Amino acid sequence: MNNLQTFAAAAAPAAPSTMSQPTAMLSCRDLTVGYGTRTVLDGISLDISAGHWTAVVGPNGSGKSTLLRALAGLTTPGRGTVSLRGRVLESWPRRERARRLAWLAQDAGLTNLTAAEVVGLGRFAHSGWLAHRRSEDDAAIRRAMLATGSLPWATRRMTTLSGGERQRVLLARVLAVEAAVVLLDEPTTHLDPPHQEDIARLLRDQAHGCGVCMVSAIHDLSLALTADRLIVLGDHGLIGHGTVREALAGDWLSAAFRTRVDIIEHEGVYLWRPALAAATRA
Amino acid sequence: MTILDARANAIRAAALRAAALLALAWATAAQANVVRDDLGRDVRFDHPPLRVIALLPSITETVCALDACDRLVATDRYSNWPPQVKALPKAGGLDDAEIELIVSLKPDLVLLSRSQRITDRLGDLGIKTFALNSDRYSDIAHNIRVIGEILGLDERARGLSESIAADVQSIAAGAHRAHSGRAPSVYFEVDTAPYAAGPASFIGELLTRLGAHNIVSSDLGAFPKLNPEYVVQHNPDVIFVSGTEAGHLAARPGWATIRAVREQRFCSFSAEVDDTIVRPGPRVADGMRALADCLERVSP
Amino acid sequence: MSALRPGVAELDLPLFAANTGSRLAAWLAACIAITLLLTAASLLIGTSSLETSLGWLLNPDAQSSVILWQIRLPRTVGAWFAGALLGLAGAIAQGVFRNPLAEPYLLGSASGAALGVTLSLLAADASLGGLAWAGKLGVTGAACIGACAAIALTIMLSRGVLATASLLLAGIVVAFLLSAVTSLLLLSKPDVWRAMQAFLLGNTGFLSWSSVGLLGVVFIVCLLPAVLLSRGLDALSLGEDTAQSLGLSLPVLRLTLLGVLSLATATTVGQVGIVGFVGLVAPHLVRETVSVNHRQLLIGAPLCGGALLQAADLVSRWIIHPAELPVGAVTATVGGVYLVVLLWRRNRHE
Repeated sequence: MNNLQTFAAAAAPAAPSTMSQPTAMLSCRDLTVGYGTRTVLDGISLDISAGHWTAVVGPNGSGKSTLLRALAGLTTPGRGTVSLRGRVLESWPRRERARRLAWLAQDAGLTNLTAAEVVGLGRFAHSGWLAHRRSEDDAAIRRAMLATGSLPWATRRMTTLSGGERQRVLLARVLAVEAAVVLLDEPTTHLDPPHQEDIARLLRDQAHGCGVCMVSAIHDLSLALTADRLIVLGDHGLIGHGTVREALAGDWLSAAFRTRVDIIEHEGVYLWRPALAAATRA
Repeated sequence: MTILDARANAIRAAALRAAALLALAWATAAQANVVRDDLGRDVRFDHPPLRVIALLPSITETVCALDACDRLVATDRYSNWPPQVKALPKAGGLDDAEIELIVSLKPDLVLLSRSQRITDRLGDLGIKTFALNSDRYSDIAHNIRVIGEILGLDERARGLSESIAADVQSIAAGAHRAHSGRAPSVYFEVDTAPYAAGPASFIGELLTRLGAHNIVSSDLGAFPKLNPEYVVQHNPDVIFVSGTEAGHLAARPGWATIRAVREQRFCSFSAEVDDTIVRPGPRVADGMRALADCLERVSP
Repeated sequence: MSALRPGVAELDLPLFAANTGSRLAAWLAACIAITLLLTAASLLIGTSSLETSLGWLLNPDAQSSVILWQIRLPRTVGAWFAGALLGLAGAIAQGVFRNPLAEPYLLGSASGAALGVTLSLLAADASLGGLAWAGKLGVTGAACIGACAAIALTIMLSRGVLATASLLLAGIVVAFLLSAVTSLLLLSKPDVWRAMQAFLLGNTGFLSWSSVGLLGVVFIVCLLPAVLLSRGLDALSLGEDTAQSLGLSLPVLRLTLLGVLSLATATTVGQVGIVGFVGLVAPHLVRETVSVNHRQLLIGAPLCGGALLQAADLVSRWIIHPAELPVGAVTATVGGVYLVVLLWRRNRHE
């Protein structure tokens, strides 16, 4: 059996019915979020469609995490609305919403459960409080762990795993929800470059292959530039939302990072470098 | 008279005056008292103290029983007998005596218990202190004698001691007669844990003098915390307990089978009477009388 | 080949270790065996020697029957239930607050109970009306009400149950405040001090069959919802945001579990006074020996706590018999030693 086929077969979920979709899976209108007197997001309107991997980029403090949390319904916006599949987030019943929208936190709590138990918690929205494990739950867990390559340590406790191994388990947990919308806050933390690339590939496959609406906040620009679309946030709000080419054409990144970065293309791949290198080039 | 004669007279007069002064000094020195207190210190009294502060209720009562109540300028906050001491300034409790108040009253002597912590502090401030033990029956006579000696009231002290001893003796004899031959077994509950008064405690000594048999054995100490089943096992005839708790004893597991509980043989005392039972002081006879009366009334 | 590409063999890897089930079962069986052993031992231990007690079992008479079946047996069974409630409450506290140092009294319930008892003792002294009221409540009722009032005060101060940090802080504040008030009151009436000491150090001496009934009922009432909500606690251990995104209703979880915690703690405090360390150590012991998810923890911790308090009760009766040590002093000693060993082992690891 071809490895790739095995992987594809194992990783394909009982596909959520996201194939024939209205184009905007997740959208926000006039979203304003502040902490105390500080306004972090001011009147942001976005439409994020399924089947793409969208990366949220911007300098520190521009509100990447805040935007994701607001889109996930974890923070109440001061003004504006977030809609999932056309319906306002608040109007969704809690469990239904949890089945369709999965969230990966930036910092996870340390727990002493086994890796498989953690991934199993992703099925909470499906199986509920009583935790009666059904075969479809087990299958979903296995698929998710295979996809992130964390199956070898399924029976080990989280506290015995390394940072990178734990991160992959947490990613598997998110995948196990088999939601149509997946929001990830810094999914590549603790991972070394090869694994970062693996995860990027996984996110792209999930978005393209399974029609998931994949949104992630990534601070590594080169990795973010491998996504399909970008949401670029700057110090004063949303700078642009579009494909990577549109972002480059519009110089969004230079605007966001206040001309401290340069984007170059090298063998079909976009890379960033600090703008001060330009002086030595000449 | 010649000048020489006058000078001789003057010298003679001066010598007489000096001799008189010396005699007076010697006489005064002979009156200076050195008394050993219960901390082992020898305390010197050049003259009997006139301003006294007592920091223990039994000591207050002893001073007043010697008719020297007017010498008291302050007491501790728990002293409440005789009634006139309630009007005196209160200088704190066992562990928190108010040093400022004590010093401001300029006492000649502070009488306190051996375990008080301010003894050294007061000494540093130039206040004379005298420590007394007050836990056992034997301390009563000792304290009366010592306080009488300090205050210069030896005769009164002797009389007081003798009358107390006589009272105690007659009460004890009466109690023995009342239950001739058959000593009632008693259990004295001090607190609900249950803490009992053993024979080594002051209360225990009084009960022993009355001829009662304490179910608590002497090797358990003065106030042991008992296993409740101990009382059930030893089945006392009479239980001394606070009035409020008496009604709840039957509810304790297994206690309904105790003879004293079944037959409702309880002895409870008011707070005033309680004071005479727990304070080793001059009112010990009153306390014993209360104990003996109840015992006689309630014993089988 | 990237690590994400699975080999054929990986498809057969097990998700859950085969032996966890059997380890847990062995552990539960050990707990139950120890409990039965302790119960049997408690029939023999008390103010009489072992031979005498054995004699009583074989040739019972009226008085010895009372001692064995009306005093010793309900006392040990009651201690088990009290310890089980404390273990359960401790496991819940550690799960809800995600803090391994949490223990049942962290919402100020211990100080509240102490204040309640002090007030009732003083009221009994103060007036006839106070006496009647205090008599009807008893120390049990006063402690219970005091504990509940303190917890209510904590929740009010932190304005709801949602913010963990402010709940903890409010609990500390309430504990200090009520302790201070209690101390001030005790200063005015020092004769009450010894009775208070007995309460503050725990006392299993007066557990009767009716106490056992009450503790047993409360135990069932507390255990069921806790076990049902245990998966929610698992989800909570990943973080509050994650738990919320999984569809968990945090207010429902917190309110129910804190309600259970309050009921368990208040009842126990009313029956046996303040017994420390059992609620802290029982969940730790379970986690160290058997490493579990919350459902297993919420079943294992009560079993462990029950056995612990039973053992402490036996020690308190035996060590200076026929006198008795306060059971809280025994648990504090044992618990303290256990924590020292834990610390030492942890330092050795590093």
